[in-house]
Formats: sequence, structure tokens, C-alpha cells
Amino acid sequence: MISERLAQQLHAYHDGELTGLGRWWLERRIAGDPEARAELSRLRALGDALRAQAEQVPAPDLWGRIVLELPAARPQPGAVEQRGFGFTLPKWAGALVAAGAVAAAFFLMPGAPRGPVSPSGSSGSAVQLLDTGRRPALILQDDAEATIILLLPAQKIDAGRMSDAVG
Amino acid sequence: MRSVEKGLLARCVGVAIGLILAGGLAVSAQDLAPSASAPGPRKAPARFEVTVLRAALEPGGIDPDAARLHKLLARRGLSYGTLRVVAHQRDALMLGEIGSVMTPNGRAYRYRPLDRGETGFLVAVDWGTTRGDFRMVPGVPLILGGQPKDGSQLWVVLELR
Repeated sequence: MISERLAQQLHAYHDGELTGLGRWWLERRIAGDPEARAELSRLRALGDALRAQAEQVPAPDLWGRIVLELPAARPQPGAVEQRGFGFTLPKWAGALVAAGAVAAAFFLMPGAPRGPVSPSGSSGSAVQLLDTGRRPALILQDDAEATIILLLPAQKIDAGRMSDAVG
Repeated sequence: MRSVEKGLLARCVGVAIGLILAGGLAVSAQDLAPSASAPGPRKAPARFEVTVLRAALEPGGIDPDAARLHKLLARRGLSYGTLRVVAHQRDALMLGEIGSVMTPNGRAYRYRPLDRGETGFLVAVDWGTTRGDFRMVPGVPLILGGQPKDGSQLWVVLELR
């Protein structure tokens, strides 16, 4: 029986997420641990089997019907990165403002949190960064109730545009 | 006489500056001390609830546990005839720890709290080729879907408890 931590590391290794020292350490562990090797083999077999099964069963008209039912939002291919400002400032101005804000937070609000990021959620938008590779994605909702993101298959972009043009 | 007054004034100014600096240091030390030692809420783990669902247009029933998702999606124009919960789990993760659930298409849906805010967490999520950073607060689910599976779609609902 392998530990939960090792299982998580094997999942990460299986998905190609481990790099550098962590990857080297885990490969050494796998080499000397039959249970870890067995778990990795099981992960690979499960992934291969499920992927093969998914590829064999086509979904003939599901996406077409869904695209037709979607609201009038436009697909957003690739990476979507939300930025807080619609204009640009000189770098020195940004640094000056940031330094002023840090100084104000430190000296005027001693009770304020001092972490690098403060995800308070008060501004409404939850999506800070979204990268869907080459797949388009629709952010159907991103507010105080829920964040809903629909991933679309790449080949369906044209179908969506066609339905928009016809509609 | 005048030089004596000047000296007194300089001493008063010096003492005042010293008191201000000492006060500032005391306030800063008071603020920093709890986060450095006490096991308060800053050390509490992020408690996640993750649900994997399979959706299809054909009528097949809506699981009671999927009713909320069904309602949210229907309002966005996605009306499914079938919505089934296929996996459900709860995790408590410290910052940097990774939670994972295997979805039926053979891909791992993983989530990792990166940073803590006043009311929530900054959470990194990846699922296949999709990845993102999301600012999550309790009660506001992150719903990611669209991965095809056997003529249906997979949806994953991640929520902070």
C-alpha cells in the first residue's frame, strides 16, 4: 500500500507535471519500489484504456446541438488572461504607485494582510488566468454565484461561427 | 541663553522622533507576531469538495446532487436530459498541496491552493490541456466542462467549503 503523498506524486509524474529534482527523486523511488512501479503501470493502463474508449465512440451531433443552444457569447480560443486595466502606464509610474500603495498599507493600515496576493473575491471575477491550449472556451458565467467555463472542441469553432452568421 | 533653547528644542525633536519610530516598530511587531507563531486561521487548510458529472442531452434523469448544476447550466442555455454524478470527494489541502480526481476520460483533474486571501484562496486547476488560476471563495463553485465521453460530456464542479 503506497502513501497518499506518493500516489499524488505518481499522478503528477504520469501527467508529465514533475520536473527537475522532484522528477529525478521520484524516478529513483519508482526504480526501487515495486509497489510504486505497479501503481504507475496501473495509471498508464487506465489512462490508455479510457482514452481509447473515448476515441472509439463518436459523438455525432452532440456538439452541433449544443452550439446551436448556446447564448450569443463568442468562443475565445487559446489563452485568456484577464487584466485589471484598460490602459497602460509607464513602468516607473507603476512602480511609484505600487511603492506608494505598499508604504500606505504598511504604515497606515497595520492590520492589513501582507501576503503577496489577496484573493478576496470581492471584485466578482474568479478567473485570473485561463489557458485551454488550442481549444476554444466559453466563459458562460463568472460572478458571485458561480464560474462556469465550457470547453469546446477546436473543430467546432467554424460551426459556431456558421450558426451565428445564419442566425 | 539662545543656544540653551536651541539645544532643548533639538532634544525635544529627537525624543519625539524616537517615540514615533518606537511606536511604529511596536505596531509592526504586534501585527507580524500572530502570523509567525500562532496556529490561527492563517494555517487552516483549504477544504475542497469536487464532483465529477456526466451529462447528455437524451432524457435519463437528473441526480438530486446535480440539481444545482442543472439549474445553473439551464440558465446559460445548456439544458441536459441526463446529469449523473460519477465521482465525489472531499479534500483538505495546505498551500501548495495537490488534490486530484481521475475523470472517466482518463485524465486527472487537479487542484492546488496557491495563496490565501481574507475570504478565499487562489487555486490553480488543470485538466488535460486546460489549466488556469482562479480566485475561489466558499459557496461559489468553479464549474468546468465540455470534455467529451461516450457521446456525453463531463463536467467537474470544484467548490471551497
